[in-house]
Amino acid sequence: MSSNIEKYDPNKWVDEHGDALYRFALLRVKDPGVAEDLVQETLFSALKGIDRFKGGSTLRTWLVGILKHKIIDHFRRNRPEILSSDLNLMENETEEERLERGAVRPEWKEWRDVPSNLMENKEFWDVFTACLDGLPENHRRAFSLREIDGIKGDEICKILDITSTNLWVILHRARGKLKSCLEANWFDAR
Amino acid sequence: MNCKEAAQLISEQRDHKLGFKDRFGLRMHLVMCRMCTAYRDKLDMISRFAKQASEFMMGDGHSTVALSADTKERMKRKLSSND
Repeated sequence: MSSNIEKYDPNKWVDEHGDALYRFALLRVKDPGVAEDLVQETLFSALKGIDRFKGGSTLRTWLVGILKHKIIDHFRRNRPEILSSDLNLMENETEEERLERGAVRPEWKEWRDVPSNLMENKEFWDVFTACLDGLPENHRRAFSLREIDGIKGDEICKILDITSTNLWVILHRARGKLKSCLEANWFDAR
Repeated sequence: MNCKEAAQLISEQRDHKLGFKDRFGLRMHLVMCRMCTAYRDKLDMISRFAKQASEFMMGDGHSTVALSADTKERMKRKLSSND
């Protein structure tokens, strides 16, 4: 009975799932206003399509599924310009170049201090999400679709309207930047 | 294969299957290069972080990031007006 009441009470959806959906969106979309709109659209679509909710999964899982589609639609509708610097392979420095300009940390230094409970460490995730937010928009989108959502490359190329060669370069750049950012703000900062 | 080429392939192998020549060249390079081996391990870890990010962000551990009370009220009004 209580699940039926929850099912048809969108006010309760806002209270019980709104924040989680908002954070899910913010991991993929940088702008808080856009993330709010996506949550709003998700709840609205869910309300209209509630008859399609079979109860086989939890309501949360169902709502997240709708939100995922909304985010991908948003990516398709609002495509950032691809900058030539997005695709400039040479921008990743070699170790020799780093050492020449006096970078302190040798590239091969491993990441130590990775506690087993890192995944529960709020400060770590604050750094991780700040590093994500620091990526150029195309890098951020490609990385989150590929690594956070595990979507296949050819699918991502269609969503972002880029070639697979471009995607591989963008992902390489995004990973390199995230690595440097995590080192500067977490692994080397403590 | 130099480190710049190796780094690109270390990333690419996470996204698609490399051709035989690249796969073999990369394997040879990694045997000799401590720096690129560390780079590969770091990208592995970044993948692990990314896979767990949704779960963590949606849990209560990150409850400081939330919709404002005003936004929630606005959402509720919109949802009920469109009934």
